[in-house]
Amino acid sequence: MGCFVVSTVAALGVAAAKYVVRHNEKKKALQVEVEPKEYKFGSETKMSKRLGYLEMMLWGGSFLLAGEHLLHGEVSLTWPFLTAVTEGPEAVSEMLTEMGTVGVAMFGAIVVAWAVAMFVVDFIKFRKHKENKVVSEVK
Amino acid sequence: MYFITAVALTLVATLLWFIFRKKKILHFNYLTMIFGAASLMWLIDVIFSAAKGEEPFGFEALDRWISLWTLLAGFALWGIIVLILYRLEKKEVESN
Repeated sequence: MGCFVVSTVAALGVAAAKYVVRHNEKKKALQVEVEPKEYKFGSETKMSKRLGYLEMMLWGGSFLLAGEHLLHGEVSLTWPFLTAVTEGPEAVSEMLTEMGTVGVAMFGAIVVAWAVAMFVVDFIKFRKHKENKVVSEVK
Repeated sequence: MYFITAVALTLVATLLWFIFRKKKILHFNYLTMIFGAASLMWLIDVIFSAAKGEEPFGFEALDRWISLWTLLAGFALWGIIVLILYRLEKKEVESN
């Protein structure tokens, strides 16, 4: 009924967090570092970039699901947008229950998929770095 | 039906991402993310529908329209993102 709203709100939150993180990263980049940077697992990809990927997944999924809800008549283009609101308190309660169960589960699934993908990417980069280090040591 | 369409489109997008992996300007990773996220969200919907005892897969006329929406909206969103990123990257190169 309005399950995609949870992901849409989460996307707004992630977008705000991304801008704060990016601002801090830019500030940090301006500071002069005396010691050379040590390689750490996952240090190659910036946090703002990671959050950007999560934001993209949330916006993309929400956008396609919003269209589906619009075609199903669960969402309208005019106020109050969610048709359940005009159908009475029972429909609103049902909608909120669906948001709390299906919506939250959808958001959780996206976050888990994103975290797994980020870990796999970091692991591949870590292995590549390790192989390069061994090659340079042999040389 | 639209869940199956979304899964199929995710596979196609992943294949395109792999084929054009050296042409980073196309950003097929974003297309994969859009369809992948929608597939995942609809998968949750299918699971909850099946748990309620409802028919999880519909093959009615409306489902076909939603499948078409999925295809067009996904590619349109990706196209807009690619255009924005292209302009940003061009601006950055010009400023440097």
